[in-house]
Amino acid sequence: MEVLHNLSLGFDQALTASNLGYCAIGCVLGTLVGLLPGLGPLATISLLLPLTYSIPTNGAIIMLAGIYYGAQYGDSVSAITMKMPHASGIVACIDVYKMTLKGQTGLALFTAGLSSFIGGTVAIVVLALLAPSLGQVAFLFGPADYCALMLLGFFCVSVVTTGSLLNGVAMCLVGVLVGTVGTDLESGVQRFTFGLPALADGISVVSVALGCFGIAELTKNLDNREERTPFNGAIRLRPSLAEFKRILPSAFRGSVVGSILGILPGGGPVIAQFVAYGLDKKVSKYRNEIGAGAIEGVAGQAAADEAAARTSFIPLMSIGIPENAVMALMMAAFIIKGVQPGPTMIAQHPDLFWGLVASMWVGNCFLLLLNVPLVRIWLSVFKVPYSVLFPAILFFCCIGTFSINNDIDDVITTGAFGIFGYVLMRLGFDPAPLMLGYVLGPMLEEYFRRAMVLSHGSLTTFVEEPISATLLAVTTLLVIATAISAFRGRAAVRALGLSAFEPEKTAH
Amino acid sequence: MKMPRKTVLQGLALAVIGLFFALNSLSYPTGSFAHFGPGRFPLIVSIALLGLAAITLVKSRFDPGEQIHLTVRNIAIVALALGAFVVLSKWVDMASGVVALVFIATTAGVSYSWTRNGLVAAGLIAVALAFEKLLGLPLQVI
Repeated sequence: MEVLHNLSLGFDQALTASNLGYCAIGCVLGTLVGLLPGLGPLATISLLLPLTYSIPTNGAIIMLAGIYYGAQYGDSVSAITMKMPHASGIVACIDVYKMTLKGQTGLALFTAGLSSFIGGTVAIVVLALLAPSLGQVAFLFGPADYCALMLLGFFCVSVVTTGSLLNGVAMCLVGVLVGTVGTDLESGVQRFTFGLPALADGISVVSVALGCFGIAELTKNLDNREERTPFNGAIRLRPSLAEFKRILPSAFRGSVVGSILGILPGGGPVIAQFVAYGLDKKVSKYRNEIGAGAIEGVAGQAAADEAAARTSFIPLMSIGIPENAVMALMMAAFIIKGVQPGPTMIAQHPDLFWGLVASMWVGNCFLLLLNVPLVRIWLSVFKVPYSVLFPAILFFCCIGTFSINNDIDDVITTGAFGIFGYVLMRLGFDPAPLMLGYVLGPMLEEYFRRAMVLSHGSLTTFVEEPISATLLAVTTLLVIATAISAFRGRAAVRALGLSAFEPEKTAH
Repeated sequence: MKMPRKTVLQGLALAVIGLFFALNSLSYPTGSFAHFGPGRFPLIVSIALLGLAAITLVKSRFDPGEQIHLTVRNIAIVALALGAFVVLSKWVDMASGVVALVFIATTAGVSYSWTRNGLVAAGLIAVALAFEKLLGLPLQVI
């Protein structure tokens, strides 16, 4: 009953005219930017984050969440029609693109839209039921436990997003080091600022995100020098009853898989899609057709994608630890708006928390009602030549950076991170874990220092505290398992028939 | 000159970043584990990073990775465009900064058109003006 009461409080918030407007704008803008070549959810949120600065807290968070779902959906649409996924649509490419080749683009788009709606709805129920109780668990955590949890998060994200534990953890550490630039809050000493006043407050999250994801991705796309032909195929959006019936079981399976995997550290849409797709290949009635353009190959992964995107908010909002790079950016956005995600968030800002939960479902409806029927209009974005788009994106990167402190010099910092991110990408590093390390770095330092003070400088506190010891044991097992699987090759990926999709390409 | 292979470059890049932060951390008080100085935490993290760099370099002996093709041209053009935007916005006005940004950045594209660039620049200046006048951003466009 309490959940229903809370949800009604949330819907009171989400259904105000202004918040409905912010949610709709977020979904539409997110979809449009997410459609653009090479811009995944992380880059889309980075680009659009400055838009929310002048909006009231509740509306800004609701709009950002809308941008996130919109970007996820936009990414799937570009995967379906053009085989141009960035990250979240990577599995969609397999069956969906084959459906497009068979002339079933409309059916694929409808399946992806409906399955996303089902996945999102199931995940919201999980979120409403689980987040408050998980928040209670978070009160059991001490400083050493938080450190161990962050470490586990670093390792999980590294394995999942980059496929290379070594490179991923290295990028997390680089991110942590970038996060130490600025004034040390305990001693007041300026670290790594080299006397530059612009660095005294640290490097802003927008500069790191826009540089590493906006500018670096943009330049990488320029290097490819691809001229893409716009999608001009016919779209039939109405499925037959038989086709409709085939969507539901896969979508529900995907919803459950996505909801569970979204909560785990390092989890999130990418891994959820792979697992849901693999599950459908094993248990679906039409498993033999999957891989050659089957509805089930689309429905399961699309539902899992959307469900995981929503349940990945649970660790952020209940424990205060983001479990992937996108959530790290969301956390930075929460903090910019004066809200500290964590166990006290639900008690201190119930209107915000439940408003966001309710707005997720409203966002779901917007995606289904606006994006699916209007997909033809969205696809016209491909008709804009890249030569026009990229200077415009570059300009918005500059304005976005400028708007943080109204200081044009910040554009230089963003440009420097653009070069840094580009070099890292070209060296085969994925900057997504860097983002997580950067956001969690200051928290890791604070908890590490606190744990050391409480234990009088004894490092054994990490193995003496039961929660911390358990988390470190899980991390160690993960490292051992990854090392063993690295030697045995990527048999599981090959078994799924996904060898064409190297893990490097699944990043962000 | 032949570029070293990917894994070697990865190890070297991590080593450079780790060394940069480690050496600079030593210039701040490091304190003890019970009483952290401002340099201790970045020092611990950079030592860990140097450890990963060492593992990567050892790994490169067995698995050097593929050859890397680093194209400097486009990132240099983008950096130059951003630099011109900052300098002109600061010393002249943002409108001239936008014009420089568009005309320089598009040299990295597959085709170059003065007319198209003029139109894009005009459109972006209009957007900047809208941001300034309607949203109150202090952009100083003109």
